[in-house]
Amino acid sequence: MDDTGILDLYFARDEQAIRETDSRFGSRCREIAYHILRNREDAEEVVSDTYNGVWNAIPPARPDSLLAFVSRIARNQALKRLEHQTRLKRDPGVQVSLDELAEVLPDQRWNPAETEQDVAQLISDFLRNERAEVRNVFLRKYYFFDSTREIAQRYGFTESKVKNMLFRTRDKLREYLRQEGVYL
Amino acid sequence: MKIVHAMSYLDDDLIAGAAEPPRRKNSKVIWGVLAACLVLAVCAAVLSLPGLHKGPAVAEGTHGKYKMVQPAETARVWPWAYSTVGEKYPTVDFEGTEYSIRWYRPVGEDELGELLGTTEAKGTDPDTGDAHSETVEIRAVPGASVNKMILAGRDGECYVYRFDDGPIDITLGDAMELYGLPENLRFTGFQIEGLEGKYFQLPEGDGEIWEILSDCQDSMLTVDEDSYPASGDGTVQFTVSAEVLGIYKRVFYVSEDGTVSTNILDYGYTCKISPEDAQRIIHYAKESGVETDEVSYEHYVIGVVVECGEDYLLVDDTSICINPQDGQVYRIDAEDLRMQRNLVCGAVQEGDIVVVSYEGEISEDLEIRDAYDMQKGFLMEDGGVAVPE
Repeated sequence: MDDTGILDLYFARDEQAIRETDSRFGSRCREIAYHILRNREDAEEVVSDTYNGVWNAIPPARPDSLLAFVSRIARNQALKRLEHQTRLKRDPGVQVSLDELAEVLPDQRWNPAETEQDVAQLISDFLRNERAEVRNVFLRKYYFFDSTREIAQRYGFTESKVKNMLFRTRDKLREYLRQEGVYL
Repeated sequence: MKIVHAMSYLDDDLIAGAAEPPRRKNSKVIWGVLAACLVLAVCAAVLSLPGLHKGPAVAEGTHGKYKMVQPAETARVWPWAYSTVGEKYPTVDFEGTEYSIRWYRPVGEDELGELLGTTEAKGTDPDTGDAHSETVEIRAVPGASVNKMILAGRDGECYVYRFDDGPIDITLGDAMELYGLPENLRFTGFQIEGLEGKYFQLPEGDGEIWEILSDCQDSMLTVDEDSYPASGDGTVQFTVSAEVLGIYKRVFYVSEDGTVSTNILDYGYTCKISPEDAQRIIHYAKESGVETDEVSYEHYVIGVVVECGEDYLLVDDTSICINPQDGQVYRIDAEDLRMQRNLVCGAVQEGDIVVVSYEGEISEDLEIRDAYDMQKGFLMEDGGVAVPE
């Protein structure tokens, strides 16, 4: 069933909507949640929370891309759960990804006049100007939280190439945010 | 870590783009993107330029009838009984080597090479998890080494399989010999960088090009992850195909400085030939090329299913046409398993909008006999049709 059909089910408050969502996007939600939490049980609970979130959000929301909408909720739910875990309990790989991203724009450098949505728009604009492979590698790492090895396998790159691409992209993004007045 | 949370609000299309599976396992993204651009550019040229084809729609297909189509890769898993040999067995073992399927369309019977033997193909029903096996014939790809390519199938329905040993450096001469390139790979047309929107055919064939390339056999084809294809004004971008090698409308660039780049072997290969040889190829193309607007990647009929029979369906494209007066009802033969399963499994029903891909021509009485794929689409606000992922 396509996005429109599933959205129609949500608007009709038909619970089949959740089964269809699971059928289309379940594996991706599990993937994101697992990558962040590295625990199957926690990931399953996140997926369940995600469907509740989607059910409560649609209507009134009518997203253009259901995949982006659902994955965003899954990501947020997983991050929320991660925040309750102590740093020591977190998977070292995930912690490295979080730290790397945080170094691009540390909280203490964040221009308080800018909202998360403002910064997201700037990052979107920045990524849009990057080559597709650079953009996707960055998103796989810091949106989907894939490991470097998973990204290398996905795109047929060496791990060192992925690391170099990420390093260069983080540097460029930091500079871009500085120029845009977000990084103080 | 506010930036971690901010990342959740990135634009939808960027997230969806990164969520898409890569087009080919281990393929170079640079080349994947280039190939996709080529495909989309060609599709757009065919599907969005009304008036290029002034003749009757019957003889010339549906070019220019419809607004833009947004195609998508769909990977529907069919019930085992309705899967093709290629779909059931993505890999086959023959004489100790594992070959992977390269092209999901069967090779024409007159392209099959000699019978090499049989093997037991093994596959798993994704719905039930049941293991299946059956004996398939193994045939040679004419002119190619059995160490690289084979054809596998049964009852004349054979698919191209390849032993993929990764992106290894190889001389142009070895590649020509291992894959039988001069015999199998056809240069079907080209574009010239700097002359965007113009397409050329090679009515005199590609014998001259292969003759020149045979003088460059020692040139080393290499895979460099950071390399870019040959480019620059005057670079000729050939479209090349070899059904029996599973190569369909890939790119083969030749630039004046002697850089040659191609993705025919899946990875992005580049080699250097002498500038003189490169210029001979370019000169030949420019001299013998004939401008054409007959460029198509795939032929489509798009419309609403108005009747589903046991082995056919009727598709009315009136509501999809730019000019509704051009609307016609096509009778589409669905005896081919790849079409039949859409009807049997209820994937397509009356009232659905479908994009039907076909080979050959539409007959005088609007019958399409060689349809091989059908995707459900939906109407967009601008009147175009999109096929969801």
